[in-house]
Amino acid sequence: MDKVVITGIGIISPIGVGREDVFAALRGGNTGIKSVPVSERWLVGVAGRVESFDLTKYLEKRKSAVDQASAFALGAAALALKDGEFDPRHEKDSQRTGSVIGSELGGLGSLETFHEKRRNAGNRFWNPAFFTQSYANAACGLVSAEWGLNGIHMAFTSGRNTGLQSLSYAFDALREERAQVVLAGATEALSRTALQGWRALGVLSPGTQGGREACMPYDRRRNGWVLGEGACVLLMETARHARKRKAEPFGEVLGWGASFGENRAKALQRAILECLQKARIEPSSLGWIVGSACSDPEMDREEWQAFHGVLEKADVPVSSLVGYTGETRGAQGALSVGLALVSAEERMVAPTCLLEEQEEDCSVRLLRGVPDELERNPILFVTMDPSGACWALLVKSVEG
Amino acid sequence: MSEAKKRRVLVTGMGIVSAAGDSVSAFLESLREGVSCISRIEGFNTEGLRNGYGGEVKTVPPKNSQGRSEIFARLAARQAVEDASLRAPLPLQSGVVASTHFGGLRCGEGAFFADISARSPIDPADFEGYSFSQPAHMLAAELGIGGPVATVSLSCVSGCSALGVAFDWIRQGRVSKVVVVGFDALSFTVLAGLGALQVITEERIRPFAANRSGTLLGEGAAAIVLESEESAAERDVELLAEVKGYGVNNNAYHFTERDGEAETIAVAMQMALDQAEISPDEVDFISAHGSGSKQGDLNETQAIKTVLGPKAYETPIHSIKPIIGDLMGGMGIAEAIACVLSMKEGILFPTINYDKSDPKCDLDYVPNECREAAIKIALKNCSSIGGCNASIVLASNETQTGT
Repeated sequence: MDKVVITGIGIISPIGVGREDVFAALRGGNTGIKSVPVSERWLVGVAGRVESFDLTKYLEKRKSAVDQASAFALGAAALALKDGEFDPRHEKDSQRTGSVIGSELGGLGSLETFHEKRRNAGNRFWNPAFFTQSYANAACGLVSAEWGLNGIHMAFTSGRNTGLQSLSYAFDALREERAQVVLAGATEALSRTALQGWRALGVLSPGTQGGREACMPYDRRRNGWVLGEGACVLLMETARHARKRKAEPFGEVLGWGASFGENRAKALQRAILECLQKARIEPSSLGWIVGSACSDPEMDREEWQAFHGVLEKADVPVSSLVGYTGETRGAQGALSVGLALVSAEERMVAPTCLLEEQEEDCSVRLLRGVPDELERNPILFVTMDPSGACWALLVKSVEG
Repeated sequence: MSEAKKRRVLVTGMGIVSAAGDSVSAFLESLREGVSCISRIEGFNTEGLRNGYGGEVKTVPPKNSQGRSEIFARLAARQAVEDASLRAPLPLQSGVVASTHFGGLRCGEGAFFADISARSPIDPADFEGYSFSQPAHMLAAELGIGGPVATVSLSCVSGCSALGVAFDWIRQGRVSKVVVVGFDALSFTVLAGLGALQVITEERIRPFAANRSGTLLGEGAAAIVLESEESAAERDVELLAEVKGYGVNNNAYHFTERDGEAETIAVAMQMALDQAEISPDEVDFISAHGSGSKQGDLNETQAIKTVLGPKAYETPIHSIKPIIGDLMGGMGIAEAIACVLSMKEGILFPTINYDKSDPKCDLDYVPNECREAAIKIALKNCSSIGGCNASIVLASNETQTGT
């Protein structure tokens, strides 16, 4: 068994790409949720879009017909490798390198294009490229191919838990030394079907049709989600491998816990307790809890109830980073880890963006307005799916 | 590591819904008889598709699109849970791992047939039904699962990979029981897409035969209950087999082209054998991916020769895809069930439609007829578009000690 460290962070998000942009937004409390172009306003008024993303800036060779979700993952993977000063193509044993990259909806936008192209061609022509780009594992496969990652390979599509689950699978494989280096994370791209679909399901904030007040995690006035998109890919390696190449870790993954239950608050509490127990960490020693509150009337409350159940009287700052990016579904857990590690590197606990007034019955210390100083480690990350599936991951940050 | 390695992971329940019927016994009957269950697709209009045939499930009305893949998943999982002498609610320390290639595409594809740039609202049921993860979540709620729930989507290696994830959770001591279920439904979009990729044959699936020309799809779900030895010992349940190890990798070359595949299939097989601590010499039988692809079957044959050496020529290999079609997300699990049935019944099921041998594919593919054989160790291979390969090692109940 070896320790598992994070040595590179790749973020493609509505608040910017790469660590510098992201840190500036987190420090300034600036959301990436913006009005969408007039032509798309019939879908939603505001969303966390990744604007002007150009994959050619990240890869040596141009790629054609890459779905946006895969493009985000490729860009994030390229940034993680650059950040970690590592090129897997020079690794002697490519079978010890792998990729674990998930997505909730995969290349749904490509599936739209697959049908659209055929309609425009008079029902005779199917372009297979758009079909394969729609696969949920397209991002994972393309990242493997780009950097010659021949070893462990896994793509989860587990709703909101996709991101943390992907990091957890990579953690297990590295800890057991089934691999030495893994690019792990998750990606999600907005598409017309996704925007229309979530709206039809009635989970979006009525304020989505205008005004940034629409996304207010944990806030008294929260009334639904605002969708976002993006990807986070982390360069994860065994501590031994990182030491050998003299890489400076940003963090160390300590463990994970998971649960399912119709009572979501209790289920999340169980997932957190399992995670803490496996890593032998007391709740009071946590330095920061990064929740997944997405301005959902019920789930946000259940989340702080679970935190309260775990923390009791321990004073630990809690924030959700969804206000910066919008609700990115499958990518959320991975993005939370990436964003928080960027923040923690500067000993900063980023506040919950767009939170103004917390509810009276919320007894945990929700951080809002200005950043706080990170006083302790590790950081606990959680995601809760509306179904009742919950995931928790524990990461110890290393200051810069 | 050592503790995780020592903990045994047993198969205690199986369930399947396929073109062969909606029970393990119906599946066994079709495998034994070696009769193809491929038929003309009745569920949707196949005009303009390369081939209008597939392994369609007739026990669930073919035209029933709403929640079709989820219905399959639930039916198969219920069979497996009952077979394992379990009933809901399962103990808190239980999990679900689902696998699917296309999620609820059959249910959700209606949204794409219309011009989506038009401003008509999408049907919420279509979008909800498209979900990849919903069947796992519904199943977890139905079974009272309290542990981790995950869905894997890794093209045609999804099923094998899901067994691997569940295997990890149990041997690491996270949970005592995991219901693993793989599912997919036939849909117009999938047949159009794979047809355009020239993956679909215009006639029959003929794995490893000289005149093979592609595959045909099937639909349904297959489920396996995996549990720790301690958990199984708590009640009177038949220990059907043991999962010994798995490997999942990628050829890291190109998403749809197959260069370098033979080598990486061999690596995935070796990864599984290494984790299982089983030598290639001990492998009695290989359940092939054997999709009927011209290049894919050749690559797999070469990989088997690489891993087994001269013993490859003495090791029987089969593909059951010509019988039920490729179930996509459920296939690896359906084939694992066939491996367990082979071990239990002492029968090797045949590779049907094998009528012309290929000098380049020169191994023993158990052509056309069943054969008696004692199998203790089976190796199951899967490969797919996306460059993924997965292998899993299963051992018969007889190889276990203290049971």
